[in-house]
Amino acid sequence: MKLNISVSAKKRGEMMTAVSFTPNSPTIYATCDDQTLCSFGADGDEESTPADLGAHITSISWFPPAGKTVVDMFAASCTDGTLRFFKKNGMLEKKIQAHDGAAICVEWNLDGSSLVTSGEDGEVKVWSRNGNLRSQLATYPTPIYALSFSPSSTSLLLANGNKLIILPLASNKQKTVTWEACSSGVVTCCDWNNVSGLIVSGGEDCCYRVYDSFGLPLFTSNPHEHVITSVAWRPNSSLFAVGSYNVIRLCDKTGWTVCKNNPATGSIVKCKWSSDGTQLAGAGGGGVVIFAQLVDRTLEYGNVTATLTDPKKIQISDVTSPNSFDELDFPRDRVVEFSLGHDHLVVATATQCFIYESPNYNTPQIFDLRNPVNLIVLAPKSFAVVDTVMGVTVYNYEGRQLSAPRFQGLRPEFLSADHVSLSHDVIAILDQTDFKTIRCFDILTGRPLGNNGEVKHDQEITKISLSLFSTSSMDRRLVFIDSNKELFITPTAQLPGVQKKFAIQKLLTQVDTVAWNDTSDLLACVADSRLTVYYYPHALYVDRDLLSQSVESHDASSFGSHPQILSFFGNTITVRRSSGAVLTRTVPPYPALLYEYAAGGRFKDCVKLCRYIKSPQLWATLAAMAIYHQDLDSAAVALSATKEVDKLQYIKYIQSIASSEVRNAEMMLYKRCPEEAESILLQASPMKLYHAIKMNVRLYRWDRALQLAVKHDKYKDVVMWYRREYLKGFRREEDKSEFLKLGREVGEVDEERVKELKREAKESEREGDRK
Amino acid sequence: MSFRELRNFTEQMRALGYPRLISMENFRSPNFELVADVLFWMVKRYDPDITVHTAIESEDDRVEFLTSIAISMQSKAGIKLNTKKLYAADGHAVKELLKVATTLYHASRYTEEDGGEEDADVGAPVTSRLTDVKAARSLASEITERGARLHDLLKAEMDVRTHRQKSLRFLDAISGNLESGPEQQWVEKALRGIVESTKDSVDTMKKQVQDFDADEKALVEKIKRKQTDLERNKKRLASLQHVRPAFMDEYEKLERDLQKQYEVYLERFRNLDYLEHELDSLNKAEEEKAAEADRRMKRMQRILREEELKIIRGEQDLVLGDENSGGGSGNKQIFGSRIGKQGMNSHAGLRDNTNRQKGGGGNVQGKMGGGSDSDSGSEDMSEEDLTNDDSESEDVSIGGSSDGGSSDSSNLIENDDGSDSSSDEGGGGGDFSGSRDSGSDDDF
Repeated sequence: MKLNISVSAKKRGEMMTAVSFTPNSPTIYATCDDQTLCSFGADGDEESTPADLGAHITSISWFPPAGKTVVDMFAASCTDGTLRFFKKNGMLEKKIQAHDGAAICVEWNLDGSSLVTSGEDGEVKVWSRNGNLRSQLATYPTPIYALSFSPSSTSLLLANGNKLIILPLASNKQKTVTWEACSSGVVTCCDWNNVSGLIVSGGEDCCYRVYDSFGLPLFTSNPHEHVITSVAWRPNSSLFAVGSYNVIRLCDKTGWTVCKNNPATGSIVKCKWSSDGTQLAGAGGGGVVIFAQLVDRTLEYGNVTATLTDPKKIQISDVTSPNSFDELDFPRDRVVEFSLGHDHLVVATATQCFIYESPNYNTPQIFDLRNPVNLIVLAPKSFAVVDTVMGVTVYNYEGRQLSAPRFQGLRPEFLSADHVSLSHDVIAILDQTDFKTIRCFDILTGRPLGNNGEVKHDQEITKISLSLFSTSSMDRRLVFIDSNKELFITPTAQLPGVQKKFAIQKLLTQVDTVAWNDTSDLLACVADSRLTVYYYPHALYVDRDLLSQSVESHDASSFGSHPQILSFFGNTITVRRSSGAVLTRTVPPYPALLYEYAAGGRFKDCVKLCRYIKSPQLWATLAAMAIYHQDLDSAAVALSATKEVDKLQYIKYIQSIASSEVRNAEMMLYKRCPEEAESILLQASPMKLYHAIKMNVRLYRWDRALQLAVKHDKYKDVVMWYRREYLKGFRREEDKSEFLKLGREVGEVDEERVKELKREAKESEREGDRK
Repeated sequence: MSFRELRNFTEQMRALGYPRLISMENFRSPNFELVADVLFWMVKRYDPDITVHTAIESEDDRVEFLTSIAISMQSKAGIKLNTKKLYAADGHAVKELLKVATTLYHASRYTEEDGGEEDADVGAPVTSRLTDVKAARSLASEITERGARLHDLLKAEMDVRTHRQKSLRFLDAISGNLESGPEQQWVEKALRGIVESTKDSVDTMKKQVQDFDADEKALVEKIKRKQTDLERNKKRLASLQHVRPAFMDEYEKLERDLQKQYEVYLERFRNLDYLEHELDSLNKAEEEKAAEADRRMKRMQRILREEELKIIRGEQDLVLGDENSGGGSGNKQIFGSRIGKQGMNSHAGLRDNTNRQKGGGGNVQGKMGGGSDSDSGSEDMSEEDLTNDDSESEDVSIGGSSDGGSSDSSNLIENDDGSDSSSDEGGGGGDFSGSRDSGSDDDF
């Protein structure tokens, strides 16, 4: 990624003090210290003669776009301590004396209902839209040099002296958080990301720093030559811009520098991104305005690389055919967002959406967009587009809208790629109101999945991801990482035998990042500086023991702290370190082959493959797969290879059972679901009552066994006999009142009789099967 | 009002390249050291020749320092500084500092625009300087030259400044602690890098030399091989030259045969030529004979005619006879030439001529008989005859050659016995010329 920099042609005698984009048009306004307001077009041409404002402006804030009405008005703080409202032609609307000394900062909140100013006198004041003083939030002894709203506009970030302060707007609900953010001198600038909640600050110690929303330091840069004068997060992105004397830098949220330019502009006093994040403008202390276009964004998927070479041009190259380049031109609008994956390229410009299919980039499907797009999420058969007004909309690759899932509390402007996940049939969205609920929707209907489609967790969730491989909704799994960095997995649909409270299972702790494979259900995660790959996460719902055996884990200390898995494509895992370096790891290709064979029911080939590879993880994977698909022969082979003698014996026993119902019931028992097993037996025709009772006896569920026997008035003596044998073995007296009562009723039971009954039951049931 | 000034001041000092970083908070509390340092730096920057006091320890020193600076700025730059505010060294001092800083800042920003327009002021009377005009002139040229150079160097200043500061900072840091520290390490690292790269280049050179050696060896080997090849081929050539091919005997025999045949051919050719020559001379003799006969006959005719005329003249008038003879002669001349032409063109005519030559007497008589009406055409006729003679000679030569074929063998034997080759050749040559003549006649 790169910034394409241009500098305004005319150099002014005084420094530029502030700059702002207008919300829905590409015009850029900048104020100069000679009390003028200049406007520039998108390409940096000065549009009209500067308007005289009659005051020295320190900062401006354009009225945010509220719905569809656009108010061409901005608020400005002035060195004489006034807060002024101007029309876009520079006409003064209102002038309010706000601060003693200079007013330094002014900022509208997100919906434009109020604005906040801060000044040299250390006061922070909240004003209504019309300029009436609402409250004086706080007073500090030293000037407030910068302020920024939190993503939800509920609190305020202030730069005061060498400290950053998070000040809640609502009274006394939260505590004020203060921390030191500059080793020497004052904090000059700060910004709060609206999606990730990260805070970036720059100060007179010539460093910029990144903090999380609680003020925990994540990154500190090396000192620059000069004071950092401005920082700005790119909207809906993990990038931020840093301005200093003759320097503009583009950095990732983990701190590494994406690109650095040295324009001759003097200090970049203020910088602002356009709302779609494609352009950056900065006010230079040397009397010029700097314009930067974000270009050279590159996405990779498989063999294909898509590069945004120009704001209106995407170049596509395929590694396998090095001579063929496709250049996609978008003459009308600049590209706002694009996404590559699953053999499709989806490009969103300001007004249209283009869908390209992989080898043929000539004929896109096009449909119109009504609002600028924040995010595009791709899945194998469909993709979701997130914009601020319409919310989340799911389209298929023909460009037809499938559904628009929505729920109370959906805040599409804050959705990031970590908070939305799309698969064949399900879209999962993290609820932004408390970050503890994931809502799953059927993409065809847009309705919540199952009962209410909610996955509730007791901690805040930071990342969600849906499995991509299997097409059936029963095999769909959702993993998520919570704020304690613990990784959980849950099925999106109700699985048989899995109670709802057990559905969410913890897989790992200290997890930094997680990713599903695209061609199989492999799950890769980096946890505790180890790279762990789950060959068969479904094994959790088949046999927990097999899950732990079907895991491959390698040392991954080379990934450093906070790595991010960029992609898990085929056999290759691409990881970005926090320093920005990209590393790749490969996994064996065999699990993917196993998935392919198992999907086709070719378990013989699976066994062959495993015999050839001789890997215990692969055997365990096969065992779990075979049991899940009820292929007992292969399961027996695989279990013997994994030396699970007890399981093997049980599988052998199941194989020897003639009746399919009993077999199914035993399989359910294997999967540790006795209720399911019992219901299978009772629902069989003819009813396998004896088996059901016997099963409960085997599981020492005496009450249930007795209940069944009493209910059907059969085999009471059998239950009684087993109970007495059991008590005899433990040398205990009968203590259950039901059994005491029944014992008196049944009397003495002969062993011979029990055996006879057993034989009879078996025979009758066998006959029933034959019939 | 101090925020804007502070902001502008820090920005301008940054742009001017002041080596320290100035914080927004630096002037919140009085900070005379900083004010003094900034002032000193700016004054030196404005004019390095201004002398100021540097001691600021005591109050008197400070006052002295500020007054000296204020005076020099007032006199040199026309900037009025409020020393009281400067002495306070707080936010208000910034306003004063900003006056100087702004002057310097604008100067540094517009260096490129106001290039070489300097006013040359000459105040003193010209006459007093007339004596050293020469020196002044050379001095002037030197000044302009130096000025230009200075201007060029100043132009580069903006680019060079950052580098200079960087290196100065680095040198400061390194001189501060000579033992260790990141700068020292950096120098060491750089040196190590250079040593390593030199080592690498030496290695590559060595490798190259080895490669060249190997190449040389290979080439020498190749040359040797080629030389042995050459010698072997030479030997083979020599041996082949010594061997006599099998067809040589036959070849030599055939050559001898050819020689013999050629001699035979030459003799025959010579004989043939001689015979032709002989034939020609014979023909010539015959022609002469015929011509002689002709002349004789004509003479006879003339005599006869004269006798006849004498007889006629004896009876007729002389004048009348004269007139007739004049007109008739003109007509007859044309007529005669016509006959000649006809005779030439027709073969039959030619044959007649030959008949006439063969049977010479008969023909003459015939003509005598028929030639009564052609009186004075004798000369024309002779001309005609000459041309006819040529064609006749051709005919004769043809006839001769065909006739001579029968007598070849006899001639050949004669020549074998005792004919001279040189005479033969001469005959041949004559024959060639003759044949050439006949060729041209054919065309005609």
